[in-house]
Amino acid sequence: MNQQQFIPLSQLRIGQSGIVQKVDAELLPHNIDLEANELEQRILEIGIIEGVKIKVLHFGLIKRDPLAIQIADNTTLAIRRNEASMILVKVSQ
Amino acid sequence: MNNSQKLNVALVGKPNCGKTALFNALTGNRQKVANYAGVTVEKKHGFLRTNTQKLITLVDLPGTYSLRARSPDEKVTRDVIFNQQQDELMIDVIIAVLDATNLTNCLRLVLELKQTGIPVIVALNMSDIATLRGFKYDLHLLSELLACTVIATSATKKHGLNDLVEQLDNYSPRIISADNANSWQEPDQSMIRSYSSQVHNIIQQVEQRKGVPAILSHKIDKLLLHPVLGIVILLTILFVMFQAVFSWATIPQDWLQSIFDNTQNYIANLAPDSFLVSLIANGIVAGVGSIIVFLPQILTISLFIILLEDSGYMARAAFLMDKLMGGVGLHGRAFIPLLSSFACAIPGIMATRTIENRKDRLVTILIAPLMTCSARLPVYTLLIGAFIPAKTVFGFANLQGLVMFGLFSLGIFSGLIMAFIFKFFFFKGGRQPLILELPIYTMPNPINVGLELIKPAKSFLRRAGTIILAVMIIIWFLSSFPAPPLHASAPAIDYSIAGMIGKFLQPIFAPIGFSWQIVVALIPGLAAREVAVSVLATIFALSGNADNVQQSLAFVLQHQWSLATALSLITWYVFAPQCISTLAVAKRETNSWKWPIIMFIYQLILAYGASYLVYNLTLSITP
Repeated sequence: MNQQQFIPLSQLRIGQSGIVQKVDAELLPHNIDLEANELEQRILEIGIIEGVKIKVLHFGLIKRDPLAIQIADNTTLAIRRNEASMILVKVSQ
Repeated sequence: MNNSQKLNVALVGKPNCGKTALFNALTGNRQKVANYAGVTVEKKHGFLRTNTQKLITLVDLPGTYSLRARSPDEKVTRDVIFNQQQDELMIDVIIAVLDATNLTNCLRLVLELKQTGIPVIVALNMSDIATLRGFKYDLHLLSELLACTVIATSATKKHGLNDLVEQLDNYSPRIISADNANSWQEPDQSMIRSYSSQVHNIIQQVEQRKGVPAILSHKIDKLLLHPVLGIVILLTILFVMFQAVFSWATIPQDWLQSIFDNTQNYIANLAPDSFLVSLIANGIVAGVGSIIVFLPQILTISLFIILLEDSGYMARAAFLMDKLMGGVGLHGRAFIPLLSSFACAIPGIMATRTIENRKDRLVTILIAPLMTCSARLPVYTLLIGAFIPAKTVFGFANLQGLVMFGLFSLGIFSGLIMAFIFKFFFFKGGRQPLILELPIYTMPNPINVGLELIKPAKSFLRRAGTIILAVMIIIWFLSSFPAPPLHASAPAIDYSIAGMIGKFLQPIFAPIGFSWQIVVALIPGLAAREVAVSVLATIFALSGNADNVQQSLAFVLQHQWSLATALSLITWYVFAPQCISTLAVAKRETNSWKWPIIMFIYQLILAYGASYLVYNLTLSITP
């Protein structure tokens, strides 16, 4: 699998959408005070999982953080930019 | 009663699936009412009967995505399901509540629940909205695939509720055997992925038509989550909320006030010299009445919080505030408990259970009492009414309203500063992730709002009828005995026990300008902040003569206190740890005396320091 064509969710612009390819806590740029496995589980549990459609809806005011995203045309979620970096997306054209 | 005629049923589902609305619709007012409104963080019990007179105890549990119990509120749910508390009911049947507009996220929990060995009934809730949006499912197939009964319900439209209750007749109390033993294991990432692909398969088979997205919700979000406008709107909502409390709620408040005033005068005139009449008129009616008049304000602030929660806006506020609050080390999720603390710090502190991380939770608990709770309103209202002129400034705003807004802001800002200090010195550590679902907007259901609003009202009136009533009777005794000597020159209260206690302690509070009457009022104020107002009312009613009994407490205070003393007392109330219940709930929620003690000390230092500053500054600038 060539990961080059996949980009982190945190790099998508508002309105862009794609398909989640990989959720991997190893990709976090800044360590947070939570075990990697636990973080990955929480992200999976709320519905961000490989194969699901994802779309960026809104950014917060300061440093465009956090992000409001939509998954599977249905659920709206808030997630911080840092954690969004661990979600790799294949951008739809 | 035969045991087989009883059944314990738990409602389990993810947050925002309409679980509490279903609970309210099924049990109505036959609930053991929890005291506080807001998001469910504690189990709630309600009762209903099936057509065959089977008695059902329905337990509403905090929303959860999994049985892993990542946060204290989710742990409540897991403990009930696995019967891990000694005093707990054993659950015989689980009703898994699903959001019919969003099955994907709900079904994984159902698969987990199936592993527990407890029979599961699926309630496909919010089915009316799902139908409107065009979702269509093959319920027979879904029931077959999940191997459990599936019923489409709508709590708001009351659809499917009878079918659901009828189903419960098919179950009897659970007897654990090898066949239905618990085989639940905490899922790891690969299990979650495997559950999710099972869910994906199920949905592929049962979904006959996919509904349209919640277009209206997205349109509203474009406005409410807008980086700039969104924050402006949030601040406007808060401003309107505080204005409503101080301006609109005063109208019914004035009616109540005049009722109590007339009653007090009427009783007092029946037999002016009788001790019993004095106790009833000055102790009970003046004291309890001066608290009950604040019911409209408490209902107003509770109504706002219920509406913000039920409409789905609260999560948006957490989104908007996350980065700003992150600046002082608070988690975005802390916004909801802190906003609830404006009604009362106790539900606020309980609502911190939704915060997964212990450090984040502790910081939020510690600063929650600095948010201006409704019990401070009586004190603020009285003092602002007496000392701040009611004039219009900037062409639209009421000066009294502005001062009130200032006091709320002062509480908020000092809370943020304290959060920063606590986080920096005591709770060093990295940030926790924010992963939060923003539910679709829903129009709050009036009946549901009403049921939620009854809770704070009942709790408030119960306090007025018990703690406050008892305190008022004690205060009346302490203020009336011993009786003054014959030919006494000073008012009777000067010779009473209360007067003696107040005068004894007054030197401690002299540097911040408190008179001995205030000191007397502060002590019972520890039991309930608002009671200070009643105590002052009683003290001044008892120390009054025939002329000023008719005058309002505000009028009396205007003539007895300096502006510096009034401002100092207001400042004291912004910061002081004037509430034993808050300390007790902090002890319970943190499971240690350490945190309530730290809370008490830091608030006391803040209160004394700030009041000292305000008192001396005001003295130096007023003639």
